[in-house]
Amino acid sequence: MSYIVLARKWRPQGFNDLIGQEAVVTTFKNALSSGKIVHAYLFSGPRGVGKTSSARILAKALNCLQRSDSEPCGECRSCKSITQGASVDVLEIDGASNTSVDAVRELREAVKYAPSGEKYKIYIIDEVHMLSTQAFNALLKTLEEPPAHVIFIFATTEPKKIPSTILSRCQHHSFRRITKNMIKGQLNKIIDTEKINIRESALEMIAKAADGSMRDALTLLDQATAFSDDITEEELQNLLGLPETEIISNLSKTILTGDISSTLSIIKELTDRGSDLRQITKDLVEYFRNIAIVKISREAEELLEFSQEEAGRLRDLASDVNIEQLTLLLTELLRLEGEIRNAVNPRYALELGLLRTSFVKGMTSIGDIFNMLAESKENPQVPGPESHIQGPAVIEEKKTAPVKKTAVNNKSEIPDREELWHKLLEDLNSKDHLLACKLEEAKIVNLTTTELVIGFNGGMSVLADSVRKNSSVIETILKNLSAYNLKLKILSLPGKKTKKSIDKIKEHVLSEPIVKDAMKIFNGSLIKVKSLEDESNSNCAD
Amino acid sequence: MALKDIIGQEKALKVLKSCIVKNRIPHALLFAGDEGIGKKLTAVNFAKTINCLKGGVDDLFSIGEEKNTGDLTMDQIDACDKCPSCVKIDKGNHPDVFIIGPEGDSGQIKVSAVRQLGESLSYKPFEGKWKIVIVDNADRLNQSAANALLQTLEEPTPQSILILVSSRPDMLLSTIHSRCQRINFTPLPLGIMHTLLEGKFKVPDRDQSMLLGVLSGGRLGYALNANLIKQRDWSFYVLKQMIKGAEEAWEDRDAMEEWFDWAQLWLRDIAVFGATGRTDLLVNQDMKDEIKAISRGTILKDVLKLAREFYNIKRQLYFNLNRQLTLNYTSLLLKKMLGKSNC
Repeated sequence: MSYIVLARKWRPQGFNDLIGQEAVVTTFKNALSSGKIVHAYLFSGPRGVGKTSSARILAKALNCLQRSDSEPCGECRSCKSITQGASVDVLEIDGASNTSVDAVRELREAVKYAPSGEKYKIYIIDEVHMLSTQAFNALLKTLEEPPAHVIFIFATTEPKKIPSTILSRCQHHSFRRITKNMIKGQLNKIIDTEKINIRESALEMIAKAADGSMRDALTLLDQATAFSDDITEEELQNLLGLPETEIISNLSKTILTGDISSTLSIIKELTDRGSDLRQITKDLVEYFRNIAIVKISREAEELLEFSQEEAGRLRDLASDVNIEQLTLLLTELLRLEGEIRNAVNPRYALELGLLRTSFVKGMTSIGDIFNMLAESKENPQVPGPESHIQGPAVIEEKKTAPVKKTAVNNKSEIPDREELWHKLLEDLNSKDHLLACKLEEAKIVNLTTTELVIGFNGGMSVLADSVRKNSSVIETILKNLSAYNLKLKILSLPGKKTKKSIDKIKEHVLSEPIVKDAMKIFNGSLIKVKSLEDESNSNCAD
Repeated sequence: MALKDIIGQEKALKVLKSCIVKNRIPHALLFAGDEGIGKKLTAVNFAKTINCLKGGVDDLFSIGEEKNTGDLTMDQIDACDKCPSCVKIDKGNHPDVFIIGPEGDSGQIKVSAVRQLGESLSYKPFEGKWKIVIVDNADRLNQSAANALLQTLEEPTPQSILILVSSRPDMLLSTIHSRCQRINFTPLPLGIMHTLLEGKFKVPDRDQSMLLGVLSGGRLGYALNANLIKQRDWSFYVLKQMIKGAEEAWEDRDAMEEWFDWAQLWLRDIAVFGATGRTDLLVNQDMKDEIKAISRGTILKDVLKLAREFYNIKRQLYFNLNRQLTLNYTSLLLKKMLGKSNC
């Protein structure tokens, strides 16, 4: 006899064998004991969770000759013939092979005839999502009002592909993924009966790798038993092509620290050894997902079904990064996983992708930047005391007219030039109101111990001339006010800033430490320098 | 050819052989691994081995008989390569061994082929002990074909074995995956590649054999392609020409597609040197200086962006991209990102 794989051998034969689908099983049991059987069922759910098996069990239960409660007996003529797939009244149709409308028409013809001896004629259509649209539509009438002896059971992994008109005519049962622990429990039962030697840790690995599907778990177990009589964790890893967990955690560490040299060295070593880089990428994604979950959730142990120890290890890794960085890393890795799937040489794709992740470490989250900014305002340390005091002033200066920059060079003996200017205007106002008005239009360009340089806009040369004529009056007042022999020098300023002066401002602004810091933090560049004056002018114009 | 001639896949062979020894050959197998590492070869030789009329496995599968297989060692399990069955399978006219693969312009395996398969599997084997179906490039099964295979794959008739061979197993439906026992074929470790190339295939130069080993990514089939290094040099030449702004680069579509694969290699080396400044991590050890030269004038971020963009172009090539436009775009990108370097 050819060998029957475990997944087939251990196909559930009664509702009690069906694990992980309590809700569905209870519904069926109640329906059977109360006799509320509908004429069309649809079973949906991921692979290997028991859809086809349930369909067969249901068929058996319905046709069982000596059913006491809701469980099929498994021994009567009917049950046996269904188990062997030889029943005349339970027809299992492969929906993926009989997709055409013709197949459905044939079925409609056959539906009319009464069952050949059993209670019901049951049609099980597996992979029903593959039927063509016409086939589905041809089925509608029959499905809505079939003869009393007919029951349809559809099974599919993709209920989305089934037309809503079909869905609304069926009782829909969704099957759920089986939890890791349930799979493990069932595997334990099987290895006891089959007398398979397997370590607990290896069993755990199989249950995890099965990813919610019992059939996957049994296929893996089958493979493992064929490979060795006494299955250990290492052998299983070897067999499944899974990389050792240590490698993944080392790799994750180097990625998290942004140590690109070590990362590349590890990849080189792995390639030299002939490891499956695609699998490694997949595991990396999973690992980082776990780190992210551990980072944000306190109940990570439950969510991941991890032990305290494992979760603790992940927490250590997670402590150095923030969640924004982790999200970025994960996004990058997920993209990489897709890329590497199609790559001719996975190594290059993997390495290029991991190089990309190295930038993430250098990134700072917006929240952190705000915190940093807030800190630097409270306790000045980074840009140095001088610039701190000047900090707010500098920003203003950047925006004000170009002429102010020499303020920094003021000597202590010279009175503040703004103050001086105010006093000058006040004094002058009492003496010569007209001259004061003219002088008000001027701006201070420079003030030293020997001279006061003021400027008029180009269009005001008339005012400049009249002030120049009266310069002696002003100089006397200045002498009184400042105790210096100040000479008045009058310039005419260009009406509009030339390109050269704008460049100069730019240069000046760029050299300011706070501007530099801002550009560094935000990774920005200087686009435009605008003076406050211009702005207010334009506002007035509006 | 027999199982013993398959190089470097000890793990996979061990699994297969132990299946034979224990008489628990699963009815559905999935051979997964990179292209050019011997999957199909193994599948054919596995078929030969279990159907072989002579040799160590002769009486193993006599139906209904319990045989003591304890004294049969793993090494003895192999095809004899001489008996009529082996010869027929080699020649491709054994009535119980079917090989299907992509057909026609679409390059897909169609549902008609799968249906035919289902029909031929419904008969008992004619002369062999097993009916064996090898589905080559199983990832090319189109959607309906893949679904049509599911039922056969789950519960085939007794004495049937289906072997799916795929270099892109991730493209297969999860419902197919869960029905098959997956046998992983791994690339060869560098050390073995190196020994093989030098010893068995007489690559004279040590550096060259190392280079071949790395370039082929551990795939012997690739490494033995005599043009591998030539192709690499060609791709580098084209790259340099494009940076300079050449107007012609690829002779035809195939060359274009190939070049984008190679470009990843060069970008990888440039990026690696740019990021680490180490030469020992480079793949193209013999071109160190040129890579250094290009790498110096570039920004790492640009190179990585370029690599991703090339990846996107490569993917879009499947959608019939205009060759001239692709060329213009590619060379513009190259000039922009790598043009500052002095090569």
